[in-house]
Amino acid sequence: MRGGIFRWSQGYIHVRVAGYSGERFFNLCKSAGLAYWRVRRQGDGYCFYISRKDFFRLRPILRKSHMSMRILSREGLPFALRRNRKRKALAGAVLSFFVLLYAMSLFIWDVSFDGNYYYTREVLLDYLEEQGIRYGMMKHKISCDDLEEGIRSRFPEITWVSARVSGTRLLVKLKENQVLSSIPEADSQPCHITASTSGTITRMIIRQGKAKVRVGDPVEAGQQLVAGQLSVTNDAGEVIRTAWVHADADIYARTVYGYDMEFPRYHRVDVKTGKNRYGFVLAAGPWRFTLLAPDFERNSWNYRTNITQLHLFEDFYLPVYMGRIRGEAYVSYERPYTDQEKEQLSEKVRQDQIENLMEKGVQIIENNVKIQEYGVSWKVEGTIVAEEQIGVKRYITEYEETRETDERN
Amino acid sequence: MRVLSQAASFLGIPQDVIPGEPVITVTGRRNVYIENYNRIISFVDNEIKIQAKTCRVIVRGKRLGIEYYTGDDILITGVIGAVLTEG
Repeated sequence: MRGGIFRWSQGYIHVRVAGYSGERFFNLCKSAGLAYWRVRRQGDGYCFYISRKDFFRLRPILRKSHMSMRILSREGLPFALRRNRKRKALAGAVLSFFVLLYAMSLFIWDVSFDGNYYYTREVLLDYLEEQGIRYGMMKHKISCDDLEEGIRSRFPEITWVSARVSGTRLLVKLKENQVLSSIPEADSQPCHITASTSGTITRMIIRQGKAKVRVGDPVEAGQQLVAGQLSVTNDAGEVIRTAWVHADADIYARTVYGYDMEFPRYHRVDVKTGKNRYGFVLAAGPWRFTLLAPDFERNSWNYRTNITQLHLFEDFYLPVYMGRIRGEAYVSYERPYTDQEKEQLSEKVRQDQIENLMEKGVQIIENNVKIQEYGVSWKVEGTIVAEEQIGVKRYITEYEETRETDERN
Repeated sequence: MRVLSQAASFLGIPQDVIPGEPVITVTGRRNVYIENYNRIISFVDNEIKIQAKTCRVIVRGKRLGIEYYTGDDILITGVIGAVLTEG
C-alpha cells in the first residue's frame, strides 16, 4: 500500500507495446534498471505500467527491440494536477478545507470530566469559566499545571487531579475524597433548645440541660424545650448560682402538615395524531442550518432533536454539531379532568409532599388526601401526620445572660 | 558451482544459500516467485519461460502475467498450472 501511494504521488503511465521481440524489450528494461509492473499479454502486444520517470527512458530500448508503444492512460498526482490546472476554485476549496481543519485543531472544542461524583459538571465548568478556560479558546493558552493546582485548592474534596490537552479536547480526571476532609469541632457554646415547629412531644432524650416540657405536651414553634441554664440552689431553695451549658437533647414530636393544590376544571390536552416528520440540523458556532420536511397542513408539532458533536478521531472534536429532528403532530383541545386523571394527579401531589418531607428525615405516620370540587376548579387537600425531631439550638447571647442576672437580682 | 554445492552439503548448509541457484516459491495456484533469474526467454499468455543461472524455469497456466520484478527476483501471477525446470 505504501508503494502504491508512493507510485501515485510520483505518477505512472499505462502503456502498450507491440512488435517483434517483447521478451528482449523486457530484458533490456531490466538491464537498464527500469521499473515496470503488472505486465499482461494482450493480443500480440503487452500492457504494463511504468513510472513517469522511467517512461522517458524507454525510447532507445523501443528502438533497439523494434517495438512500438502506445500510451493507454496516465495516472497519479502530477497528471491529476495537470488535468485540473484550470479548476483553481476546486484546488482552493481543497486547500481551504485542510487549512481550516488545521486551524480548528488549534482550539479546544470539548471539555471532558472523569471521576466527578460530588461536584457536578456544571460546577466544574463554572470554575473553568472563572479561570478563563472555555470552549473555543486556543490550546497553547491553557496551563494544565496551574489548572490542576487551582482545582485542588478550590475544591477541598478533590484529592487528585490530572488535566491534559489531547487533540481538541481538554481531559480532566479527578479523584474525590470518600471521607470527610476535616473532623467537625465539638460545639460547647451555651444554648437552649427550642421547637422549630408546633406539635405534640412523643419522645425526649436529654443529655444535657433542663427539660421544660414533658412527653405528651403540645408545643408551639419557638417554645423552649430544653434550657441551657441550670440554677444551683441552696438548702433553702434560693438560687445561689447560675450555670450555662450547651443543651443537648433529641426531642421528637408528632407534627401535622397540611397541603393543598388547586387545579382548574378544564385543562388542555395534546393528543398525537400519529403523523411524524423528520429533518436534520447542522450547527457550527453561531450558525444553524435546519432541513425539515414541509408541513402543508399547518399542524401543531412537538419536536425532539438528538444532537452530537462531530469528531474525526477519538480526540479530534470539531465545533460542528449534527442532529436528527423528529416531529410528532398533535391536536390540542380543552376538556374537564376525568376521575382517573384527578386520582392520578392527587396521588402525584401526595407523593411529592411525602418525598419532600422524607428528604428532611421525617417519618410519615399518616397521610390523608381528598379531592374537593369547587365548581370552576377542584382542589387536592391533604394532611400528613409525621414524627420528627423538632429541636433546634438557640445560642445564649451576652445580653440574655445579663438580663437573666438582673431579673434574679 | 558443483564444488560449492558439495561443500554446502558436507557442511550441512541449506542448499538455497548457494549462490546462483534459483529459488522458486509457489503460493497456491496464484503466484510463483522466482529468485535469481537472468532474463525472460518467452512470454505468452499461457507460458512464461525464465532463464535462471543454472537452469530454465517454465511456468504454464492461464492468463499469466508478470506482477513485478526487483533486481534478480520476479513474481508471476495468474492461474498456475505447472512449474517445470529444464536444462
